[in-house]
Amino acid sequence: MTTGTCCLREFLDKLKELVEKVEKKELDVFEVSIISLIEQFQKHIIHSAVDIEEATLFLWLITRLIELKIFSIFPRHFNSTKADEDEAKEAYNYNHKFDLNLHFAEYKKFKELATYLKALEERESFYYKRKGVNFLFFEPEVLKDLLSQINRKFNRKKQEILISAEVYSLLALKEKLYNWLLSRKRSKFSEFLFECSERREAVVGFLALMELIKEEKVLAKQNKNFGEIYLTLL
Amino acid sequence: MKEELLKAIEAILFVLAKPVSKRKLAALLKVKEVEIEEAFEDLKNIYNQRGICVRELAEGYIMCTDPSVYKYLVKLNLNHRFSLSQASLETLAIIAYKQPISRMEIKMIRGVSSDGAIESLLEKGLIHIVGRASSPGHPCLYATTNRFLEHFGLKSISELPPVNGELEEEGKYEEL
Repeated sequence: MTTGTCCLREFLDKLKELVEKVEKKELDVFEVSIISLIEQFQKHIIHSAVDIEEATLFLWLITRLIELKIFSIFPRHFNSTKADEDEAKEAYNYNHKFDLNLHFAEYKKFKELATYLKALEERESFYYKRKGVNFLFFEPEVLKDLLSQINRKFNRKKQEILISAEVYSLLALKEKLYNWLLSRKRSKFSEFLFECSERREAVVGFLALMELIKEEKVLAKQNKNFGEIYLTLL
Repeated sequence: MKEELLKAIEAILFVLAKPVSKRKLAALLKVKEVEIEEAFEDLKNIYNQRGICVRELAEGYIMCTDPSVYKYLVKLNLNHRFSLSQASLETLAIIAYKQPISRMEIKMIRGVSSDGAIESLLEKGLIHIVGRASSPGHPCLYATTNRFLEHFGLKSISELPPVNGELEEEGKYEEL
């Protein structure tokens, strides 16, 4: 027997003890890292050929640990015996700190309640109800308030909204500005604005100027922002 | 006077054909709620041996057919009810016991998204939005409606059985 095999045998014996402790609940299964155990086993077998019996034993022990871990997380099946249920209950209490178990238990409750609701739904299906008229019920006080609000709304004077017709047309202002420039050849736009009777005429007049510039009939020059606009007829 | 009251209640229940609360009946008929209760008991006795019955449902009174005549009515193939899917029933059970509850909380319990089931329940009028949570995002909070009680033949939400474990410990059931 080689030294490596000796070490492996010791490792497997210790692993066996560990599994027994977990089975007897002397040790929490969640404190055992299965990955680290597999890594340790790999280290033992890396330099020497492994015996089939030892490999089988290792696999069996690791499988048992995985099984114990699964049983601690998931709830038992419905058809389990009384002894199984007691064991499951014990296991549940033992591992109550795990949210997953609690989550499953809570979900199971609501699943059972859904079954109960289904039974109620089926029971209720034996009753036939008519399709009645639409019912809009108001307390007398509420109805009184509602009626007074409606009356107030109807008695309110209608507001007259005057919609004035278009006074200044772009076409007319364009013609006016062009004729105004014809008489001057070069002038300031502010002079034209001073001649406008109201703000709306000035606004339409500015739009007319834009049109004339676009049509290349007028050349506009402004030395600085918000400065005077000098107009020259082309 | 009592006969008049009986006739009036009978007529109202017949016309409306949906649960009418004691308070509404008392306000409509201008009598006390106790008188309505007494009249309802009399009406119940009158309809005891008939094809039509009066019963307490969804915090009110309703007139409907007696279950004993179901075997005859079923031949008419009347599409009088809808049945809910398993997902909808589970979602509804969670809402009924944990109301008001947000979509995310329902998802946490079921482990899957319940958006489809919630939309379906909203459409059927079995649940409604009662407000918004103060948590980030202010999610909508859902609760059951009177239509829920009507659908499952419950007088009130307190008729639902208590749940074991933590729900009971937290006193959630008492709040309902």
